[in-house]
Amino acid sequence: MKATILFLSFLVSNALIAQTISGKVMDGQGNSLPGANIYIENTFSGTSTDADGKFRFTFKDTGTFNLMVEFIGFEKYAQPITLNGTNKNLSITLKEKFNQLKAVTITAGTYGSGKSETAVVMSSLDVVTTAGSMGDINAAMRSLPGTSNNGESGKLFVHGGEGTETGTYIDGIYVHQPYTTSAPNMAVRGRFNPFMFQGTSFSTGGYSAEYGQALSSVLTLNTNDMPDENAMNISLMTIGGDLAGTQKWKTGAITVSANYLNLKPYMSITPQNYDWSQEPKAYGGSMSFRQKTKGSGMWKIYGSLDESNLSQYQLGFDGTGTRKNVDITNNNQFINTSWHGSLSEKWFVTIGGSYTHNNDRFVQDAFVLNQKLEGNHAKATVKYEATEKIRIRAGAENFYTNFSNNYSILGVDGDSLVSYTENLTAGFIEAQVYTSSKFLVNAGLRTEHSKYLNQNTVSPRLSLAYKLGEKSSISAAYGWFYQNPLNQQLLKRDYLKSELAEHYILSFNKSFKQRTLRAEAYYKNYSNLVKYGSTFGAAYTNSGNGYAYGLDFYFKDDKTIKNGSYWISYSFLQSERDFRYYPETAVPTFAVTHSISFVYKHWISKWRSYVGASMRYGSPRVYNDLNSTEFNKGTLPAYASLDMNWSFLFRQNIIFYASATNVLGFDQVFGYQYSPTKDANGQYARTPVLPAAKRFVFVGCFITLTKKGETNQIDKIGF
Amino acid sequence: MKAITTTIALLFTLITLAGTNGYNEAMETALNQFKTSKSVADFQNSANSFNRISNLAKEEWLPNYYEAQCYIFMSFMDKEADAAQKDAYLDIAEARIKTILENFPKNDEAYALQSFMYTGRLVVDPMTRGREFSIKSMGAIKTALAINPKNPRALYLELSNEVGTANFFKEDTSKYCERINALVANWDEYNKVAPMHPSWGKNQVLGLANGCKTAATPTNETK
Repeated sequence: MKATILFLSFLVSNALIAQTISGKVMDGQGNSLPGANIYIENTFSGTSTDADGKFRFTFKDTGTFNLMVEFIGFEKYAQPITLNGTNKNLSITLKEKFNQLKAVTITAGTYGSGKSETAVVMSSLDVVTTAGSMGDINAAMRSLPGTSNNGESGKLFVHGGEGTETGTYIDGIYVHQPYTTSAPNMAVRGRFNPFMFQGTSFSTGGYSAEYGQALSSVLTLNTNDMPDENAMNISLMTIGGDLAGTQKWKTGAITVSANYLNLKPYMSITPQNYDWSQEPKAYGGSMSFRQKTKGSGMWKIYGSLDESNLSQYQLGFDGTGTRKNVDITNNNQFINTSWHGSLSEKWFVTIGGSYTHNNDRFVQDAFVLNQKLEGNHAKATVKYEATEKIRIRAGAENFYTNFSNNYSILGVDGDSLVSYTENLTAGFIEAQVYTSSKFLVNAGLRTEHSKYLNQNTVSPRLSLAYKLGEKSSISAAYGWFYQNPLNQQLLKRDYLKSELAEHYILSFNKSFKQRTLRAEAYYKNYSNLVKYGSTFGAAYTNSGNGYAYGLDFYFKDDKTIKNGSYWISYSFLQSERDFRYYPETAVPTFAVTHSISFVYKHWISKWRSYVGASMRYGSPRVYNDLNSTEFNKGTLPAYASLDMNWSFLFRQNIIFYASATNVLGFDQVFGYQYSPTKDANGQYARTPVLPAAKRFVFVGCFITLTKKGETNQIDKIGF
Repeated sequence: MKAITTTIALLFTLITLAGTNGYNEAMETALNQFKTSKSVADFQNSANSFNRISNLAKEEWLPNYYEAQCYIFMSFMDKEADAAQKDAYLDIAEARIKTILENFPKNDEAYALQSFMYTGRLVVDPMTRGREFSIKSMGAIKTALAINPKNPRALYLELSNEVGTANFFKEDTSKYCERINALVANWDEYNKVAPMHPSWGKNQVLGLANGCKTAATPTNETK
């Protein structure tokens, strides 16, 4: 009883004692932190810091307690304190939480989409609303620095590299045939619809050891996860249409689509630069499947079947200088699948593969060339997140390629087939280490073994980033990048070795309030380039070489103009090569010294419209004038194009879209084609390589049907 | 012996009382602070207060609810914050709502608040997030109404979304007036909630109803 009274009185006396706990909360630099939460653990007692980071509260118990402090972006703070009735004054320093999103990122060579402010974003929306892109990912990427406009190709030319030096990866899996087939010297397009992807990133060099078989650049495309809901999408365009349906279930979804494209009606009413006997037409279908798996895993499959055909009059191969009809038919089957998931909190796995079957059939007069590519890729990677600051990735992969050329003559038995088969196995390991949120090292090593070339290669890759201030950083990248010679070069020539590019990149990045400034300097050294013999039929060698160096500038501003956004890219390039048929070291025909892109987009709320314009300029390129004794010293006109587009949200589920290229009608010449024999005056006759038409105008209507008719293809135009 | 038992019983009662009173008192203080909050700093302080309560009163959902609401308000109000900071606020709100739904999967108020949180995500970057988060926001309202078809806040948010969309497309919003007026009329009946439970929304619905009186000139009051 006595004890109880004592205990009760203790309780009472306790309640009578009250002490004040006060102090200040600061970060590591001594800045005060307003709004931090301070409390005594396991009690309701506590307060928040004021504008000066100071706090004060009274607490009525005595004993030993934990004083806790919590604040966004900082690690939870705990300090045991003994309270005996006297006031306490404390000075508390919180430790900043390590946050990958806020930590420095490597910007050298990377143009990606990401949550981080330092990344240059290119979402599917950015792609389609970039005037002149015409829904082609590669064309949109050409508005970014480090690239150039090479209208005769349509591929991505990066830092003085050719279009064939850019590798395309979907969900980490290699794409053997990322482009459509077009007539010789006419621009191809990327095969994939930009809306398949949630993030599109593009590297101008110095990329991760994960990626191989690309001398200059990789385009890495990450497909969407789950679709938002069941829907039927209908697209009606001046050049065709497509229909897509999505069915979703709790843990997965499937989308099936069919498309038909025919440029005949459009081309027959607008002036064209070429004579067509069959304007481009295509039809195809695709399927995309998603299934969530245990934990946070996801299994994805994408498959497509396409056939396209065109017939165009081109300068004949026979040297008579007459134009002949070339008929080109492409058949493409593609499947890509991947699964990613976690084995534990720290171990992550991705496995995937792709299969491509691509057949191009060229027919001129009675001559038929069948070009067949069969390829597959299998890859497995593991990622181990040792700590928040240390990540290790390793992977193994196999690339299979079978390529053949088959010549035959219509009506004549027999053919002449040449082919080659390559099996390339590769492995890579890469460690990403943050020594603090200010300094990041990414070091990797890649090895490849080519069965066909009987060659082993080892490529070191290294990139570093250092944070200069809250919003600015510098980074550097270095690496060796191997790529097998082109399919045509490898046919029957197994003695060749892979070509090599060495990259040095230094980059500065500054972000401030929705503006990004990027400056990048690079040097690239090419060696082992394939060189043809000086006489016809002579052996090929790997004695070619070259270099490229330059400067890129990029400025993006989403802030200054209300509802408007723009970016400016400027690229300076100096490059020379001695490769293929070049008699001497010369500036390659595809190199553009000065490239400028200005892209503007504006949302006009009153008209529910998104309008955009882009101006692109490329300084004159060289071409080889066969009538001159000097090699590659001819000069093409400069390239210029002003493109515009307009999207109008008519109803919640109906969008109208219009787009036009080269509205000012600049003359564009991408090169000259020379007759192989001299004419009566002793000259080689030539014809200019032109775009299919001076301008291209596109109008479309996109309709989305859902159960409630509520959503639209809003992401198709931007909002 | 009996005395000791009595004392212990008394002590338990005292402790229990102290506990409950502590919670109710703390909640009342925090709610008063919340109701008088005007600035981002005020809401941060309120959020901290609710957080201190939920640390201790883990079985209660209200502190989590109000803390989440504070952070959602902050994401709308903080003009200094960049997108990452706004998302950091909404991350906390999302986590608190998740905690509620883990313990109370049928909590219609939490779903209504979740819809509001998704709208906050959308507002951070309407251009790229418009589609995803408008669907998510509507989805959360549908879930709330499936649990309780008379949840007045879910009904309000649904109407607000619909009227906002109609305004955007310059469509006639008068077709919603019947439902808006019905919600105003039924508000007090639908909004019979226990003390301290969420009860907001009446002023907002009255705002929508005002739009009906002057339907000829569409307002931009609702976002």
